[in-house]
Amino acid sequence: MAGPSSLGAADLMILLVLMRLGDDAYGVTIARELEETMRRPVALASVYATLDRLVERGLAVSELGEPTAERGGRAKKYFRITGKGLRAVRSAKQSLVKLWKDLPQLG
Amino acid sequence: MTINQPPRFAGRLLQRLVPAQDHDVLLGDLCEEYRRGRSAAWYWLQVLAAIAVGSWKDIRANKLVAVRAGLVGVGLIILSAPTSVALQHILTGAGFLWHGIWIGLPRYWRYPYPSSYFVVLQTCFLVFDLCVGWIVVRLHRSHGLTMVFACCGAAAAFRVALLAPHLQMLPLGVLSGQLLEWLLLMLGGSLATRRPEVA
Repeated sequence: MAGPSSLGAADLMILLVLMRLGDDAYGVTIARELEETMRRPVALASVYATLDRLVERGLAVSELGEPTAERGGRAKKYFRITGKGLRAVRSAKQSLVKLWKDLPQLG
Repeated sequence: MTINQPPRFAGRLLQRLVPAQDHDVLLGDLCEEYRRGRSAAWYWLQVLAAIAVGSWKDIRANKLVAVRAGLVGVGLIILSAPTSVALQHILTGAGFLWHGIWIGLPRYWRYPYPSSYFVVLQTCFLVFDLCVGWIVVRLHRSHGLTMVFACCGAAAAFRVALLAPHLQMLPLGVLSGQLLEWLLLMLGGSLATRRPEVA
């Protein structure tokens, strides 16, 4: 199994979005935040595939909300980053900053 | 006031083709977005992406079952080739082989047009491909159409291996034949999937 430091680009982006959204992180808000950041359409199914992977690795946790009429009587699934996830993000940031340094062409 | 209902068939299709996963939360998200003004095309694209992603996840989680489905599918396709030819001989009135002896059928049995030979053979192949898709799904019914995708991959690999020496000469023919085969396998498979329970 991959360690916490081995985060893919999608994993890292979604963990960052979870941190930004806080308690309001569920499929729709996560996908919207990603669409605004990347400026391209996002498939909700692939967002959930990444979220499920993060939950399996213990980097995030999920919790079902109440069903609402707006969603056709279906519940929302809220996601939250865990301590392990936070450590993984910090570790990824350190690695990226280290690689970024001394590269003038990247500003 | 009427509530804007999302395309119901799309949701049912997702639940029918990829039944091994729970799509309730995803369908709730799609419904929410649709009611906030997303188009039906957007909804359908999201459902198609969910079918692709869900199938891939199911195949990855059940690799051995996927390999078995691929082997069963390719085995049936291999078996269907001589069966199609034999059936074609009978249907066009040419006859059949019995213990090494060719038994010709009476003349009145023959179909009057020469092109019927080709048409009958192609029809046999089409029907057999539909049957292979149907059988693969019936053997792995809890996985819906997912295992037909595994079968499609195996069929493509088999076809490429078989036609490798001629690929440069017939790329378009091979490609169109493969696409037709995939379509028929999926069509046959979807006929065998279970209807989702209406909530």
